[in-house]
Amino acid sequence: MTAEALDQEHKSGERKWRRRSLWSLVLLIPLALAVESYDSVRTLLRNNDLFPRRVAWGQSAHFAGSDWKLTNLRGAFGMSNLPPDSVPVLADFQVKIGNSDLQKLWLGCKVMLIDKDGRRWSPTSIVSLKTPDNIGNCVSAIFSGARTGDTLNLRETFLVPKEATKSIWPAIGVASERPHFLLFQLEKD
Amino acid sequence: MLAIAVRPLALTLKLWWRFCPQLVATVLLGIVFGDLFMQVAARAALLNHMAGLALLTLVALTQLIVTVAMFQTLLPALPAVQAAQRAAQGEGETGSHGGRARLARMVTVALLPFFAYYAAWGFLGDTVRQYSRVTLDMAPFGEGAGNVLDVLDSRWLIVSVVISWLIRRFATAMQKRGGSRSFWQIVVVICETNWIFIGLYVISRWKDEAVAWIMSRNIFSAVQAAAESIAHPVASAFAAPMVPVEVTSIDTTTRVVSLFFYMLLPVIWLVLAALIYGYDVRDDKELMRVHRRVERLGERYRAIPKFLRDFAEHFISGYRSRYLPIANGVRITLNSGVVLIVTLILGYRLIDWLAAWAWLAMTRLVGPHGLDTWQVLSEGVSLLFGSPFQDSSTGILVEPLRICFLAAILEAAFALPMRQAGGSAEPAGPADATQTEVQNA
Repeated sequence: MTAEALDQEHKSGERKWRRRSLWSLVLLIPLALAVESYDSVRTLLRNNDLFPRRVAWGQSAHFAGSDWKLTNLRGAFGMSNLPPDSVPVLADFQVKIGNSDLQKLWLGCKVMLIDKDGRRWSPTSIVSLKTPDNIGNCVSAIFSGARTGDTLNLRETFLVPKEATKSIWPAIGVASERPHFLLFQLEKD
Repeated sequence: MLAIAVRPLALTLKLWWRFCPQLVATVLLGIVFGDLFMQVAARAALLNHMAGLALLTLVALTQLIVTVAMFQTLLPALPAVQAAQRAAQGEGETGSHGGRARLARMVTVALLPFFAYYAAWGFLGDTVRQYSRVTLDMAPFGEGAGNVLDVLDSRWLIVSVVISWLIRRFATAMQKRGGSRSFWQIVVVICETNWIFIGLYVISRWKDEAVAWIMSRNIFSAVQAAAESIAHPVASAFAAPMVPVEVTSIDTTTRVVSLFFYMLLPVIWLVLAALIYGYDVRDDKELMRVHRRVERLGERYRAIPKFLRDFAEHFISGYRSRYLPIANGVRITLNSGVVLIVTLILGYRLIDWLAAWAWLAMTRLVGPHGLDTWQVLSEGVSLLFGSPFQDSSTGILVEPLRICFLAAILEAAFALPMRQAGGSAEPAGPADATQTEVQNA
């Protein structure tokens, strides 16, 4: 074989490998990305409330083994000693216990308010309002020893800017259901 | 002079354009297999700590193979390196090698220097740390598995080395019998990687312990005090006023030392590249030519009675044939001229610097997000530009460029007019068959 033919063969071999490599990138790039980011994606899905399940006003939804219903959402206007233009908001829920293993199913319970821009507020302890004895909150309910069939009343207090109160919805997320969470619609929706 | 500096840069871009898909695909394969082996090692560690550590070797070996394969991909575009290889082959090489066996031989040659580099820059520790993190993820708080790294302190380590030595011996025997040679060659390589990996890691741990012991004896502080008293005049040694940290400056010694290591890394990589391209000296004539005194040393060695030389060579010949290239690699690197070396150091660091800025630019482009979301996004950015926490060996845009640059520098070094005129240097293909057998014996 002449040197020229050998050279030609090398060139065509290289072109062939170049083409093959280009095609393999279509598979390899997503594969490498998946392999690299597998753990991070898993953490992201486990730790965050990403996908809402909308619950219409007055309806209850089965979530983390129990039936959840939003009973009230109201602002406590006129309180003193608060930052200017902020309003305390109270969210009341009624939960009918289905599976009583709350310590497992309700772990990482997080109640929040979400507005139309996607801003989120967590419960506050700055505002202390008197609550009746039969009302607890999400975390205390976990250790309440509630049994299947019991009904729990839960309340969370938030402090939100006044301008946000026009478009806020309460939401609930727990570790066992993440990345899904409940988003409660209001009467006006 | 400018031409010497510019030529490698132009060649880098040419190489990158010509071989980009192949190189990127190789890096991606390395990422996939590296991660796969890490998971396998971690799972094996839950059953047996020793097995986990043995399998961890494959992670480091994957990196080496990826590097070697990338350099090998570029070879057809490096005429000067090829010509030098051919010249050496014409001198005494028998036959051509199959692709896989060739790769395995190249990996064997680069094994020890690569791992030495790997350990010296702390990547060995990184790999081990990543491994222990993965196992901890699988068994939170070490439940069931315990501390997977406890084997590093146990006598069982010797058993592991003995087992891999036995497997290696068996593989060598099979290789001699003539079965699928390249397969057995790969087995030999894996076994050698195993004990080099474990050995180096253990040595680095012992080194830490030794340093800690010395530190605890106050010897070091006495030495340091003595060194400082020499470095600084007495006037500044007492009643030094409080100086705010932003006004203080790093002293010259520290600056020089860090500058040295800053410059050393690119040079080490060039030596590795030279090794991979098989810059091999069949005999040490060329190396001896470095200096008259070294030459005289060689002559004196040859004057020793033959039986004594045979006795000594029985022990050292395998290693000599394998590691003489290191010495020679250093020589060619330093001989290739100041301009080329400066181009190498600046160019290598420029690539690093650009990759770091590209990383930062991407963070600005993507904008602020939650920590968990950014964790996912950062994996994507790292895939492009390499992780900011390790050597940029995983960035599919950076790593091919780096390898192309190193190959281009080496090609420029081989193509230097003074070198061609000398014509005495003979780089060869990787160690030939007889040498491999000597090494394996």
